[in-house]
Amino acid sequence: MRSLILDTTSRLLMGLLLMFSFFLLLRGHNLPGGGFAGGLVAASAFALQALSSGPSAARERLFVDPTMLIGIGLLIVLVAGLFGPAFGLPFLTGLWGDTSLPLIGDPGTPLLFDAGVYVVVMGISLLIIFNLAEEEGV
Amino acid sequence: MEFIMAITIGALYAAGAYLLLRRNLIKLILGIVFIGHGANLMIFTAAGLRQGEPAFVPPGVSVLPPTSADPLPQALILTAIVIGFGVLAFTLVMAQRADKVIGTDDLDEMKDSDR
Amino acid sequence: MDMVLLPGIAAIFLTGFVAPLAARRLGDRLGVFLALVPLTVFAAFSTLIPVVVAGGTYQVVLPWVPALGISLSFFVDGLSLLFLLVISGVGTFIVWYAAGYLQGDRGLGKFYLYLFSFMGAMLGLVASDNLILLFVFWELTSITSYLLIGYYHEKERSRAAALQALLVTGGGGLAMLAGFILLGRIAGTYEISTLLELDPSGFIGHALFPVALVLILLGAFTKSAQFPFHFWLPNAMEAPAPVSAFLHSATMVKAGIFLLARLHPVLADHALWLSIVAPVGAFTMCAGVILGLGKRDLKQILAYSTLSVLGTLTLLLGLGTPLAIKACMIYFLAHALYKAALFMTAGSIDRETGTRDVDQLGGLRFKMPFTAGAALIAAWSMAGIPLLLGFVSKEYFYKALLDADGPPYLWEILGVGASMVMFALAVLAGLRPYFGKLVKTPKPPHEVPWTMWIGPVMLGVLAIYFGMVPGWPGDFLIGPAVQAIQANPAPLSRLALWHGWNAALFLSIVTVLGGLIVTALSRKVRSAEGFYGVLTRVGPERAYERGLAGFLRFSARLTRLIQNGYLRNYILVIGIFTALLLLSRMPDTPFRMDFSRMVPPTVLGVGACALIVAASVIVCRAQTRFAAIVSLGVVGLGLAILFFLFSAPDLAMTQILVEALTIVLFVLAFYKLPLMTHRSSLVTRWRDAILAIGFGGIMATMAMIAFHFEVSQPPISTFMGENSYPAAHGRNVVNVILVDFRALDTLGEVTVLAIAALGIYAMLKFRRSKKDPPQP
Repeated sequence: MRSLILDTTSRLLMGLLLMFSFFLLLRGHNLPGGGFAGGLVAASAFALQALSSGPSAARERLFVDPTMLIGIGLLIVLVAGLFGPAFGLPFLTGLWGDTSLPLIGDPGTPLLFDAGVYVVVMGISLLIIFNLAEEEGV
Repeated sequence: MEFIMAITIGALYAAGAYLLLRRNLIKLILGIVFIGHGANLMIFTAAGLRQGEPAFVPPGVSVLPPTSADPLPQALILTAIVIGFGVLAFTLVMAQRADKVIGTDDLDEMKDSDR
Repeated sequence: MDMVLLPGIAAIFLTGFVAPLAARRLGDRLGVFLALVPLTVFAAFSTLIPVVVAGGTYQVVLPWVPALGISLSFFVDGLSLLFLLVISGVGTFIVWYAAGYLQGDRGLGKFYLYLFSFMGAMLGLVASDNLILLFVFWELTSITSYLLIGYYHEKERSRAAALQALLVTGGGGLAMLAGFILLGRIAGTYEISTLLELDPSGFIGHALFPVALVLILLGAFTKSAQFPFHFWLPNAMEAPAPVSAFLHSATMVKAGIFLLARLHPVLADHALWLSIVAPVGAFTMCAGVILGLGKRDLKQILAYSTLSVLGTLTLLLGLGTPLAIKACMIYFLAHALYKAALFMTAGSIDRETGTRDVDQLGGLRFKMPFTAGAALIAAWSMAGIPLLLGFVSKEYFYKALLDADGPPYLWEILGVGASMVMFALAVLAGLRPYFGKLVKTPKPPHEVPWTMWIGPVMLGVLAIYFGMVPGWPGDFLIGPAVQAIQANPAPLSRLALWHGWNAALFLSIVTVLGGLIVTALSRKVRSAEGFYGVLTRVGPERAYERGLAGFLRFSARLTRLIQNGYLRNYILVIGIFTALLLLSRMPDTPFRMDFSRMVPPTVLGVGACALIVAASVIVCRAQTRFAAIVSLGVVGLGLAILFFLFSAPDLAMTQILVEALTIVLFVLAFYKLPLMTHRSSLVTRWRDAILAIGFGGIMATMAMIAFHFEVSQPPISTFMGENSYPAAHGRNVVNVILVDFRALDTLGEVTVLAIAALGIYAMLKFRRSKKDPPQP
């Protein structure tokens, strides 16, 4: 069930969707969005690719194995939490820098934490979708 | 509006219960999803509804206005939605495996498959 | 600071856990080293002798559950010390013996783990000062004995015997626990040492006291294999010989005797004691020897003679006179020495010749001289012939019988009769295999290694020594034990070998003469299979077997009834009970409908709700998976609209994204979408629909109740709203909660999700290959 139109649009859409997912992640602390939503959008970008041109093509575009993504994401979450103990504060204590950036607001460990969530959610969704797609021979 | 929401919640739970009692594996999974939806909407409604006042601290103010929606139930539901997705994926794949291995999606025919 | 008791018990347990690790390194020498531990513990316990001789007790208390009055309290008086020394002393020889007996056995380390665990439990049992603690150790001995009896677990008979012993003694233990709790409630304390100091007349009249007494007796009788619970003991002979020698002669079966002795001052004043304990003991005493006479298997003969001795000890405690208690303690010590030795020599014969049939053994005295010597001494003691401790114990036994109240001559006749048969059994077990012509056996016999004869020989030497100078053990071991049992200690005469020409000596002479006659007739008796066949058919073991089979049938039926494999039946039961539970609580919170607190209905909101309801109905009625899945998506969309309308944009966004991926998943998982035909009948569907609508109604009511519920305290979200921006630098409070205030929950959530994903991955990737054996 390959469709040239779907294939091409999904390629075009992928970049757009990924950009949108980053946007959601970064602004999440002050406006609707965040790691969960961002991760799901990013996953759907690759899921679309998997449906249109097959899971192997989607895997190629992803570069990283989804299992690896889950690991990396969990690691980021953990590191974000360990900033607290490093400064003698309880685990997962939020810490912020002095600068203020547009869109993001004040960058700090909660943003890093949210980024970890983003990566984990993306990895989980893709792990399931890719494997199911390969199983069914889509 | 809360009253109408309550009726909707009842409908979601009723559909969930009805689907859980079917013999079809897919309907069972759908039933789980419906019960989850019902629970989410229940938490959402119990906290009271607000119109046009999301739980954002407006620019120039440092404290959430008291008329805003309660953020805590929303955080709970957000977590529940994502976890529900995980549960759904898990049960779906399990059902798919069962379908492949046992060759049926009839729960009655599966009742002896663990012996 | 306790340097003896608890360190000793702990050392035994610890050795058990070290044994499997050391087994690989030390191999067959393992037992030789391990035996040094109980030997040291024995020596340590001996240092307590002066304390108890002086009439004192040695106490150690560690708090355990102070709220319930349960503490880890231990105390040692004369009675406990006698048992402690017997357990650790005989235990030393057993460990040595097992080293030889199980030489080359692959599970040797495991065996020692069980054996030492048992030994530790037994030591803890006799040193417990708390009834609950005693129960814990009591059941621990049952469990470890289960493992030991079933050591040859590849043999079905072994497993059945182990299970039988566990069920009988464990069940009795539970009855005993109930009795302990009753007793503790009635008397107001669970501490044994306190109980012993109370005046029993204060609580003996309590209405529940007889119940407590009977329950405790059940525990003691099952453990000490009194009729009608005796059958497990002969069956337990499936165990390796060292286990039989240790558990089934010297220690575990004596736990019941210990309990009777321990609580004698508390319980014995009740009339029920005399009318239950003494007859049961007397019956077991006689039944044991009579059944034993019909056996040809050496270990069976010994097991039945043990039954008889246990009956004798119970009878003596039932009589309860000072003389009877003294006789009981001497008899206990004498029996522990000679019976352990006889079991070990029987095991040696079995190992060397390949048979335990007394009719196929003979003339082994030159082939196995040390074993034969040890067996001869032990049999001598068992027969009750002068110069050995067995004679002294029999003298006191007769004296106690002559002294006791009761029907005239009944106890004496039963006692002398049982002792005559016991004499014959001693000859059978201790002399028959070694004397007469050498009989050809399945394996050519050799003397066993030193580890296997040292124990019986040493026990024999002790039996001779104690028999020659009975005053010595009398002063240091028996005397303090008797003092501990008696409520009002009276001074006792010194133990002696020679008591002059009296009635007891006359009975002893009669016993020996009668014993010789029984011995001469024993082969004839053994061949009376018809008589014994009837006994087995009507015995209480039948009742046990029937009961067990019936119980298994009952549980199988019950399981089929409630675990019938129909998932929806389970769901129905769970759902109905949930609904009933909710309904039962509803009257507590009166239903209200305060429209003034509600948001006025909006067109879009009502529309979304209608959409959800309609799509739900379609899903329920859907005939194709496709229709169902699309409608499910519509429900999700409706929810997202509601979230969006009522100030939850984050939820709306997440809901839509999840919904999209859900549909992708459904499509992928069930790529081919066949029809979903209605499998249930129309009646069932209507029944389910009515139940489901009822359930939905309850949940709708719940939603309304929850909405009107008023919290007295300010909700925690107030704190979150106030601190979100100033403290957490975020204006989206929902997001701040997720990644900051409640970040730990989110961490847990993503971890759970990751595990679920890996589970899915495993399900899809790793299949059971066809080569794997099918799961049973």
